[in-house]
Amino acid sequence: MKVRSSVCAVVAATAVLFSAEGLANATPQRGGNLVFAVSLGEPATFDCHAAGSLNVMYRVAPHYSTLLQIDAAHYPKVVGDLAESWTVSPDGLVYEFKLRPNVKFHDGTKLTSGDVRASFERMRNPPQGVLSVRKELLADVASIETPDAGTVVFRLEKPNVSMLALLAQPYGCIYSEALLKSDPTYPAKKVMGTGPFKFVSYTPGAEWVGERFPDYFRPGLPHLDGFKAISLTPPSAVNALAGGQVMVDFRGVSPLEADRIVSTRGKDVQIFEANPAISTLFMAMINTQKPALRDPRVRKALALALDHWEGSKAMERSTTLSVVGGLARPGSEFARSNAELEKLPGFGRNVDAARAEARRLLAEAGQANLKLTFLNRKPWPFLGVYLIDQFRQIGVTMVQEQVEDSQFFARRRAGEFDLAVEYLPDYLDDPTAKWSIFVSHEKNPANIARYNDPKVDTLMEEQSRIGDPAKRLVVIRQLEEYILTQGYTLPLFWGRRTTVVDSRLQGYVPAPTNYVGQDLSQFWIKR
Amino acid sequence: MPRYLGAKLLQLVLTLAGVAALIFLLLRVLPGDVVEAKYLAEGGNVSEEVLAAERTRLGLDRPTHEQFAEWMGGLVRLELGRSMWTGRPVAEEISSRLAVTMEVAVMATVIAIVIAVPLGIASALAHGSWLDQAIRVLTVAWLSVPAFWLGMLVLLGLLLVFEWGPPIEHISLFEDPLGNLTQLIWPALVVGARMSAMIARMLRSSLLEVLNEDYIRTARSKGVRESTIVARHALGNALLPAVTVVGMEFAFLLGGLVVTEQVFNLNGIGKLLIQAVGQNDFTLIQGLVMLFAVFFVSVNFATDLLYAALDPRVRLR
Amino acid sequence: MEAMAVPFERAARPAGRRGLRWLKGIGRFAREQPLGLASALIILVILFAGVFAVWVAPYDPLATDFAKLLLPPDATHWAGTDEFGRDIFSRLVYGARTALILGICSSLLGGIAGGLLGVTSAYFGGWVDTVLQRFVDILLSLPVIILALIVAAVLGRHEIYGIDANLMFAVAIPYMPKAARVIRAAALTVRTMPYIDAARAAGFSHPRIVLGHMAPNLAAPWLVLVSAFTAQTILLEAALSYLGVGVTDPTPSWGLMLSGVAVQSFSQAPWTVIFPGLAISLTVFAFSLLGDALRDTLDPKFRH
Repeated sequence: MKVRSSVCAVVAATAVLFSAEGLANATPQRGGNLVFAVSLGEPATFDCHAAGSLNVMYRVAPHYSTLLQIDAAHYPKVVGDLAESWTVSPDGLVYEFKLRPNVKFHDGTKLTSGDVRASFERMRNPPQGVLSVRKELLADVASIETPDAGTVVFRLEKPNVSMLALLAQPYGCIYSEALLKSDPTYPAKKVMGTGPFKFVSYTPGAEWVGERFPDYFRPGLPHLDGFKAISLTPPSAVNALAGGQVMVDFRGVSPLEADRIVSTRGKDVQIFEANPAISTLFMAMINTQKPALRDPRVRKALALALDHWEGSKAMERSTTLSVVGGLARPGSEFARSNAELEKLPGFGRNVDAARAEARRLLAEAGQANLKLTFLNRKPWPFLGVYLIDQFRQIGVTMVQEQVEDSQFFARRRAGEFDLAVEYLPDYLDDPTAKWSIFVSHEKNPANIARYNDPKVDTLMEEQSRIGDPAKRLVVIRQLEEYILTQGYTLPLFWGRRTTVVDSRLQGYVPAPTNYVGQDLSQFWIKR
Repeated sequence: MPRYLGAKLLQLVLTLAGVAALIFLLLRVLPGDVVEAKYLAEGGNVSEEVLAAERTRLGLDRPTHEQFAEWMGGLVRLELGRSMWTGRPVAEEISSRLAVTMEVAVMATVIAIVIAVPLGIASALAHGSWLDQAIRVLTVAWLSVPAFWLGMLVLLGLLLVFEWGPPIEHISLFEDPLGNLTQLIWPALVVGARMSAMIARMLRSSLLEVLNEDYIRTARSKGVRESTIVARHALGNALLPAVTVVGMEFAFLLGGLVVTEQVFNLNGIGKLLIQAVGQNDFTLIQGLVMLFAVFFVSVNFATDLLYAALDPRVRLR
Repeated sequence: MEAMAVPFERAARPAGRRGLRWLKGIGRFAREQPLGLASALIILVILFAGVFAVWVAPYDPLATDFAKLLLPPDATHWAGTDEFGRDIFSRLVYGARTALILGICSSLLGGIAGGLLGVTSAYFGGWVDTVLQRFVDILLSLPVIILALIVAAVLGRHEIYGIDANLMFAVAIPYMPKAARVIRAAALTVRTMPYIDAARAAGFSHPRIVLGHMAPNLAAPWLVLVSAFTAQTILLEAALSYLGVGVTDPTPSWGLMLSGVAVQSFSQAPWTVIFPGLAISLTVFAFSLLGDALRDTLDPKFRH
């Protein structure tokens, strides 16, 4: 426990340091290479439009700019990246962006509004052979126009209160229109954008290297000469942090791992915590097409079996998932207070009563000896351990099936499971983007609970159109409560990120999502 | 001899063709394919059409026998195809990682021989004594320790005691030999220790066998000194089986490194295989498996030739 | 030419008289092989723990206790607790069950399948032998762990009564060809025995001769083989579980206990790493020594 307190002390110390000095007071020094760990495997593609995983984004983000971006330091505020300014028409249907002048691509060509339009068109309507995994986020866009080289206009079909946040998606890399014309799939194989760093080399299994782009459009940036992203397995990433061989692993480490690193590095590292949670929720989706799970009573019983509050204590030491919350990120504008949360099934404090009720429901449904399988991916065995232990206490037997990715996704898509792990895309908290997987299966096949429920669809649609935040929140709450009482999904835990950063590395901002602030332009190394 | 050679060669080719067929068919039983892992792991919504288009591009939608014929045809021309994950040629993916693996394997073998030869000889000479027993138990003990556990202890021990970890970026042998050594010596030690136990055991038993042969007894009865007997007569003959074991072990070492590379985060072919299996990268798995098989079969072939050259009885069989 | 040079190959000779006097044999074994006896005792203890895990283990191996995370060993938790507050000693005891069932079953499976293959090959000879041996060649030309890794990935998970049947196959398959080689060599000698010719002359069916006359004479080398395999299969299961293609959490498995969080908690909670590793090493050690001792006893050539 001594080590733990030392971490607390370091956290406290850095917090003080952080507020006293602030970012502005320190003068950034130019030069140096940022060496960081990527402990998530090899990227499947270099194309942001086809990517959603951090293992692509951590490597690719420093090479690209986006039209808008989310300000890491003031999450979830939207600020311009390539856009210098913008206006929104009063009816919310026309968004006009003025681009920065003098933005250059790494190949020396000048960025124009055509590049922006071509990139968003590619996301919206991918040509043959191009994959765009989030095109539904731009479904409300009717057309994109370029009145002149420095202006882009987005016209919407319907007003969408989340539009700016959707346009600020970190996956919205802007590609060169000229290159796209000759090969629409170039971004999958080649890295060429307007970001602060030029691509140098990628050695699969070893490293990804970038160097400063001298013509980057923000004067004086980036501070770093270059960066090197090293491919490591999660345990070796922690070893590398403990040995001072990498400066940071942005994905974060568990508090237990942080303790170990601090015990060897002491004051040479700083600890940052994203409070109270990062925007990643892990859930167990319930396959409503399975005969036993068709019965809402059974699904509710499963929800009632969970003791989130005690479970959180176990998760908090050794994993990066431990924050209790509903379907909205705790700490976000959409989240409930704990008191309100406790009224939802599975979040009550009186666990014994809840479990007694769960047993009663199961008996009533004739499923007192329910046997289930939990389909899980490789990195998160602990979720299965937790669920199995909880279900045992209401007499439900469950087996965890941890399979390779290809089998996992194939089986999940085909509905060959009882419960399966699911996690939400996590660059922002807005339900319009985040909750699309709860829309009926016939409308969105990515809904692996496989239910068709018009009420969910109606509420989803309704909340995305309400401009008044307070009124919108009412609908969002109603939707969240409805999904949870129907037992379509069991929210498990929200991510909690503990990042260990080498003390020399400056400019790190612990945003409540892993996806923003990753272009590395603000980082610098203190000598 | 040419006839013997020809027969052995034919056998070699047949075995390799068998391995190729076996691995190809095995992989086609796998549920799911690389397309699922590649596209769906990125999250978001991927339509059936996109998945189907990618399958067509990779040729995964063609009948199995066509895919098989194409792959076998490629093998005959020494082409391994392209990785279904990265799109790069399999040969390139493998060759960029082969050096690390081979280097560790060679280092481990050297370490193993250095440890094993004295142990094996001492054990055989002091046959039945406490020393022999001790060495025997020790070698069995070494073989019983899981390599990954030993590796973990070594790594964590280094970090805890010296607050130092081996370099994580690959250091080229030619640019910085010392740095390269500090990086690769640890996995080599872990694997070599295990291999040394294997070789020591083999050397002991083959030496014992030779020492019981008639000609050694004759030499002994003529009063030739024991050290001369061992050095001049016994060791030479006992070495052959031991060399065989070294060869076989070296081939198997490449397999053993799968786990060790994972522990030490070495970017070798073992780690590549684990990755390829996780991604269902069929062509890459096939290529790697063929590499292991070719390596093993060639070592086997070389050993057979060596035996044939030294022992005329084998040739005549 | 058997370039494989499996150390047990020398055991490949007839067991001699049938109706071996077992008790006397065991007595002799104990006298001549004190190490073998010691290892047999260790195995018995582990076997006992595995079989009677319900009574031996002080706690439920799956029961999490969130108030007792990563506690060091003490009077209540003899080997400490893990990151979920599960009692490590209890998990080790139940892990013995997993390791032994998987280890013994897969070596038996590999031994029986390979043995049958070997006997058949030797008995029929000719093209049957050639075809079977080429098949064995193919399986032998891949490193054990690689074959197991791929088979495990291909088959996926399929649990029957808490034991993963597919994993058992994955571990057994690489040992099958090894058994086939050794047993074939031994069977070739047995085949030349006069009573086999006599049985053939008497018009006995092939299966009857193979199973009734040849197999019993191969029991000794087979036993040596299977005990040595058990040591290796336990090690293999641990490695596969460590790599994440073996046993799935929360089923207690020694190899699994060494993957994931255990590595990271080492400096704060070394007991999570030390004990499972020791358990694997000790069990494998005992089975290997027993295999050696059996070989020395059953193989006359080694009795100097």
